Amino acid sequence: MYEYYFTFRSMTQAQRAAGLLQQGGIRATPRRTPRAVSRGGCGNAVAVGAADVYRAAGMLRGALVLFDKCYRVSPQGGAEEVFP
Amino acid sequence: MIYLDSAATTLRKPPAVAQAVAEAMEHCASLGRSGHSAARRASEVAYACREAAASLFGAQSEQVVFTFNATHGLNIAIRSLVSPGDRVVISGFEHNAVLRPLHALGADIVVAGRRLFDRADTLAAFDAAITPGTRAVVVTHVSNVFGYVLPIEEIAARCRERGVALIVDAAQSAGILPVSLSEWGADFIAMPGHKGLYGPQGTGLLLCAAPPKPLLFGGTGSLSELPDMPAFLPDVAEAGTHNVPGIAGLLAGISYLRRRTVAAVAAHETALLSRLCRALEPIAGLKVYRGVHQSGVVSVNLAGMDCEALAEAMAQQDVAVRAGLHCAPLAHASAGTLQTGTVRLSLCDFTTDAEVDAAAALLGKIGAPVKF
Repeated sequence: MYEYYFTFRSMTQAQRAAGLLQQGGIRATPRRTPRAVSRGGCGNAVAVGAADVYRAAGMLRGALVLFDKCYRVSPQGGAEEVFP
Repeated sequence: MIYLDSAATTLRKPPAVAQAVAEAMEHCASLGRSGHSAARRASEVAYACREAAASLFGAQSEQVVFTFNATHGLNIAIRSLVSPGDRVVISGFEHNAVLRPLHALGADIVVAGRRLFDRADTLAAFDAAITPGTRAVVVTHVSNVFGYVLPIEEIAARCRERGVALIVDAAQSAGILPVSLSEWGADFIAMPGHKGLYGPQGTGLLLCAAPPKPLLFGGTGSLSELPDMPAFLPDVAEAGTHNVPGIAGLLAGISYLRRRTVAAVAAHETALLSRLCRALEPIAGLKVYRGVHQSGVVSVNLAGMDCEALAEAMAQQDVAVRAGLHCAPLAHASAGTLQTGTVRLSLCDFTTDAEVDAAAALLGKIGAPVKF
């Protein structure tokens, strides 16, 4: 089961995104960005389930809450970029 | 104790403030540094505080920077906009939190408007002083000595028209009068958490519409591989571990204000101030510095008595006031009280009619001539 991580430049931006997605009925959890994909070190992300990733991306773009990247992260820690 | 020193710190807070501080001490770790539950709780508290402050002050949550006090915020703001030699216009009622950072930078300081409670004079002076070469206006919303409410909306409009940066010191107005980053179009608004917002000491907010420069450099929990501070808000101005218990208390204070409303606080303090001044004005030898546009702060002087001696006499009767120059020598120079200082009585939302009546009665008793 994959999780999808939207990464953000700041924790505050990630929290804003999580709040927006939760208000839209998406289960969104603020997380630390996995080291494998954090850009510049120590990042913040919002994790959503596979079923919600496209809707979440649309909601964030619609509200101009800009994420840096979106990654699909496997339970083993492997990550690949979504929407490259 | 009858506490009339709220312009320094509001001593009486909503009970939820101390409870929030205690809970954060027990349950909250460092925000934005880890993913465990105690760190997440801290992050949630901080974000809730940013959102509450943003809602109250017409800002976005990312524009809300946590500081240690208003002075800290003013230093960040001034260092972000002003370089040595820049022309900066200030009012004649500024606190040393404005004057000293500008002096230390070597700014070309122009003082505009020195007539107490004269808004027309203040505005005319700013009109004349804001020239094309002016880098910034740094102005207090309310004098911490006299409670004079400056015409901030009009000054902000002049700054917008002329493309001059604006920094507002809202130390005496945040939580007491309407304050709005977006409506004023200010670049920065600095405020303490421990006065009108009813948070703990050691808290403050800087609202940023312009990009600040860091005053402190260090860890932010973001972009850690880079030697430079992150360029984005709020991280750029928040190096080091946050005062999470203080932020939790500040959130409780702001939440109280949002329920109570700033308008209700203003109405309460206005009514109390009128009551206090009506009681003070008949006292022989007592000079009361009273104006039309005045918040819940009033200064007095008693003829023939040093201001510190008067404050001490009141303290002995358990009435807490503040005497001296109130860290605002410029305001005293403008009002002609630099040599004498004043005794300042300041109110808050928890001050009662009975308290101001008792304080006025005590001043009357101290001021009454001794009969033999």
